[in-house]
Amino acid sequence: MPIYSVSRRRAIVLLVLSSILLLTIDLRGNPLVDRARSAFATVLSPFETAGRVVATPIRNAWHGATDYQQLERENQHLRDEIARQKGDQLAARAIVSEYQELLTLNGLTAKYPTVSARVVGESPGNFRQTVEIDRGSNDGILVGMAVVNYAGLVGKITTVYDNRSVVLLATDQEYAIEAKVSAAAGLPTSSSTADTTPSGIPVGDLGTTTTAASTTTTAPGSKAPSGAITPQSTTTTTTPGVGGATTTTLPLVVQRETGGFEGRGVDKLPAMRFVAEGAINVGAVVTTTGGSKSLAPPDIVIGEVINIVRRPGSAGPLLEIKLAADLAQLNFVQVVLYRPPSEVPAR
Amino acid sequence: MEALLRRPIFRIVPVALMLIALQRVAMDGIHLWGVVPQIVLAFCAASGVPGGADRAAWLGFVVGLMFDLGTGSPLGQHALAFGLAGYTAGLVNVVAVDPHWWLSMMFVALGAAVGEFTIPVVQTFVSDGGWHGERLSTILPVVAITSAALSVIFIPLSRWCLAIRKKTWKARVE
Repeated sequence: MPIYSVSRRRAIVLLVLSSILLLTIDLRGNPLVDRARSAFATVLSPFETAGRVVATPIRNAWHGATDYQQLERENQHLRDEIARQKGDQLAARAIVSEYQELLTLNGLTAKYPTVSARVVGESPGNFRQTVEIDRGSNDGILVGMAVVNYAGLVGKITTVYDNRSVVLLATDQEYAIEAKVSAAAGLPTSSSTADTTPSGIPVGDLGTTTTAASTTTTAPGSKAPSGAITPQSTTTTTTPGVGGATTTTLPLVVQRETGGFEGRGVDKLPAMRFVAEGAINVGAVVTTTGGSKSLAPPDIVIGEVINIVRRPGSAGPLLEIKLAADLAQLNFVQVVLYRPPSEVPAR
Repeated sequence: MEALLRRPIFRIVPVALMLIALQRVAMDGIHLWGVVPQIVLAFCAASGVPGGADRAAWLGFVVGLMFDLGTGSPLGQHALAFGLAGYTAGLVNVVAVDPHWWLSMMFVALGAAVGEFTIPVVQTFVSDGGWHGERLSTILPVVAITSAALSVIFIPLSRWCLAIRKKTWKARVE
């Protein structure tokens, strides 16, 4: 039988045309297809449960054989990391507490309810980065909601069934979100306080208040206006009659850039584009911007800048981002019950 | 009733359901050089050896549709990919009347590679996902080789699913 016989050609043409037809119907959005998917998920569910029972020992044996040494190294590394982070955690907790207080004082607090979910499956293919979670529309989850874990942003909901949902991970090429990056690379790098007050007079009594966010200098008996935010601020206070002076030098770096964060597939780090040249340093924290067009509420941590690729022309630098959340080791996640306005269907 | 149950569709559907469930729950953690072996694709490609290009194409199409429904990928994407995989592997029957095991394996590998390659091609047309150029050079060989290895199990299984009796004669070797 020749390769290109009439019946064979007919078969292949029919196959291609049927597939294209189905793709077109599905991409235009069809409630019948959605119902079919939901029904199929119900049919598939007992098979998956059975498959999980059969596959778990096999998978464990596979991981035992292939990942043992890596796990041991990782365990060692994690112990070191935990020890280092204990100190950081205490400092961070104090800062977060102060930050929350400030937000509350200014009426800026916005809390969104979340739904905790367990990751029950990963992408079965090699071309999309998705995971499946065991919560769905019965728990109030809708398409477009952001998914986070304790470390930071994980992705967004793309498909919702009654009791399960599909999460598109932030590393997928189709994922993009508005993000902001603070130019401050972590904590102030150099801060020196030269106390020239004669001994016996506490510095606090001089009435000098200096913070990283704003600089206020108040001499006794007078009120000075708030200082402008500059990359470097020097405050000098002279106390009449005492003859002392306090000089405080703080690097006040509060530049902030917004841009577009996007996933670039499993073999490349996610990146951020459209930021200005020269403002950002390695180590800067990337968070969501929020706003009416953003897919997530503001100030969810995405990750940190680990590399800056300078590009010629007006393209601006490309920031390579290391995600805060480890997407390879997801067990539990939280779905933020915040639906971005851009995802709400028009009435 | 017995004749009805012997129809291929009543065998293909439960087998496909089991394989899709296994692909989703078992294979997600099993990576070879970062690539997930594709057992459903391997089954569709393997069906080309006993079933021939036409039957394997339709089996691939049906199983691919089920895969699309179960995984949330665009309906028709895997149907086309698996159909082409079966069709390509089925061309082994054009090359040899009674193919040797190694020839069957080669065509299953080729079919699987064609099927896996089709997925990003379709994705490029239907979504924002970009081209996976460099990574394809790892994905395609791994998927092809694992499919060839799995064909040892899947050729007899697909023969049973398609209700094809095993050949009892041997081609004469001159």
